[in-house]
Amino acid sequence: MKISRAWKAYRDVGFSGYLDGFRCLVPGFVRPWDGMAEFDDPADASQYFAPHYERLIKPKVEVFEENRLKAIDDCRRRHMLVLPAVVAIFAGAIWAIIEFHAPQYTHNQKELAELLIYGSFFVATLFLAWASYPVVVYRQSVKSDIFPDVFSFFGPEFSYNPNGLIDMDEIEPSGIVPSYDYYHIEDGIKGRYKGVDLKISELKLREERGSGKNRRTVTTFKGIAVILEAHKDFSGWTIVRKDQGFIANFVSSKLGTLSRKKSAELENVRLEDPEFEKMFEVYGTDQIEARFLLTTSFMQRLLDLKNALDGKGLQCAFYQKKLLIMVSSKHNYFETSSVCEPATFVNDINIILREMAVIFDIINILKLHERTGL
Amino acid sequence: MEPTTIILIVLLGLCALLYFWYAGIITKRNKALEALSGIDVQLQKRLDVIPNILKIAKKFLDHEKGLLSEITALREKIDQNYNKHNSDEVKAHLDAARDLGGKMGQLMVQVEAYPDLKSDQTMVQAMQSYNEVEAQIAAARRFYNSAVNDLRNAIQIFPGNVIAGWAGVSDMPFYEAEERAAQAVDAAEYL
Repeated sequence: MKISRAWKAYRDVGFSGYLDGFRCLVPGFVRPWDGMAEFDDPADASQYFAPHYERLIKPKVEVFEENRLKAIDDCRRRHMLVLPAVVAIFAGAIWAIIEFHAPQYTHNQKELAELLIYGSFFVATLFLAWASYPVVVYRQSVKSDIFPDVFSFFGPEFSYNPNGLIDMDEIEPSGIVPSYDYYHIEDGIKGRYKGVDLKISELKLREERGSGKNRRTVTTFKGIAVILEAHKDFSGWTIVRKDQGFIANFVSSKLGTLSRKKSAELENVRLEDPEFEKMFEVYGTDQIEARFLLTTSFMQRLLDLKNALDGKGLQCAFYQKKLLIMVSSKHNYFETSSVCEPATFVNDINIILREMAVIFDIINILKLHERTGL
Repeated sequence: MEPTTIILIVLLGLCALLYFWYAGIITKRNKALEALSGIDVQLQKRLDVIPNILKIAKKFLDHEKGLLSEITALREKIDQNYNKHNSDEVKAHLDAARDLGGKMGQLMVQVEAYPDLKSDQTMVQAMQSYNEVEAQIAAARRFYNSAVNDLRNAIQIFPGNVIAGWAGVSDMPFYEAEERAAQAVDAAEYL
């Protein structure tokens, strides 16, 4: 097992893959395949999805079911191998914690013991990661082999890439990307819905804050970034950010992300809708263009979208002839379901249909497909 | 601290306050003038698009000579220079722009009644350009009205009204919508 491949597999599948390895140890959690596949139906998609499923996905079910059961067996076998060592490590660590609290040990000895305890926990984690690895690889194969077939249902232009499809270079000029030191992009989808080109990726941004003992890593953004074809022609730059209150807005505009993006070019744009002004803060390089893009109808639609997203953070930017929408959410989009579920992929498909409905709703609610000029 | 010093500090503070208030009023007036220029830029684009529309429409709407002449006259009126610092001249200019928008609206309604004209490719392109410009004018109007609103607040609220009087800064008119736009639409007029 190459380290880089393993690291990538864990990155693609996430911590849930690691936990799945434990879950499948319990026989009662593993559901056998009963040969059936039934869908929920967000907006009747299941009716239309069924023929697509029969044609593209069902032929792969048997092979994947075989792989799933093999992965569970491998995972259980590996856990049996490492469990004695892990139990011994934890027992030793507990003994060391109790023992080295005694006063007869020097400060240096206690520090060394602490280091060894942390080291042993790390080794135990590596053992368990090795044991869960077959499950993680299986779930990664679902993403790479099944998900593209699922997304092709939305249209021939739709494609899926587990590594993401948006570059940071592409979205940084928007001015709404929070500051970060590390980023992770995954689950990229590209396609065209109602004539509107779109590109989506799941994004996680983290930043180092504080210094010395107070140094910590903070998540500055977790959610999805959606790049859409804008519904109007424009040449400037307009951003719509969450209103953080007068002082925070002022500080943010002088010291925050905006300051890195030629803030001298951006002016505050005060609009007529009081509810919109309470929710959002607008900045633009051209006061007239900002109002051309943010008509009263469009402002209302942005408010409708914010409500439809159930209070999740929403920011958008018009720049370089495109519209970037960033929706922050704790939810992990486009993930595979547990290895304990049969390899019919019904759960995965239901979740994807629901999540894509949210994305398509962005286009529907904002009416980006209508060229009314409003 | 001596009373004289205190008085001096208070007076200096008052002068500074008055200066910043004055500077704020001037900034708001300049913003309104900038917004007015923004409207003029868009109005100029509209004036550039109109002759093409009139030329195409004339072939089909020869009997609407009255309307076409009014549009031409309004276009010439708007194209003239005016004093941006004179509130009456600004109002007259904006009223003429508003009236021109209204007349063009009437022309578009007439165009709808002629399928040949409506589907003429050059007319379709000209109307698309016109609609685009109208959207820009609407955006420019919103910016202008917002800037004028800020200026009015600054020069009507005490002590802004006193400072504005000293500085010779006067009110500017809003760019109001056409009266017809505020009335309910009677479908019977068109059917």
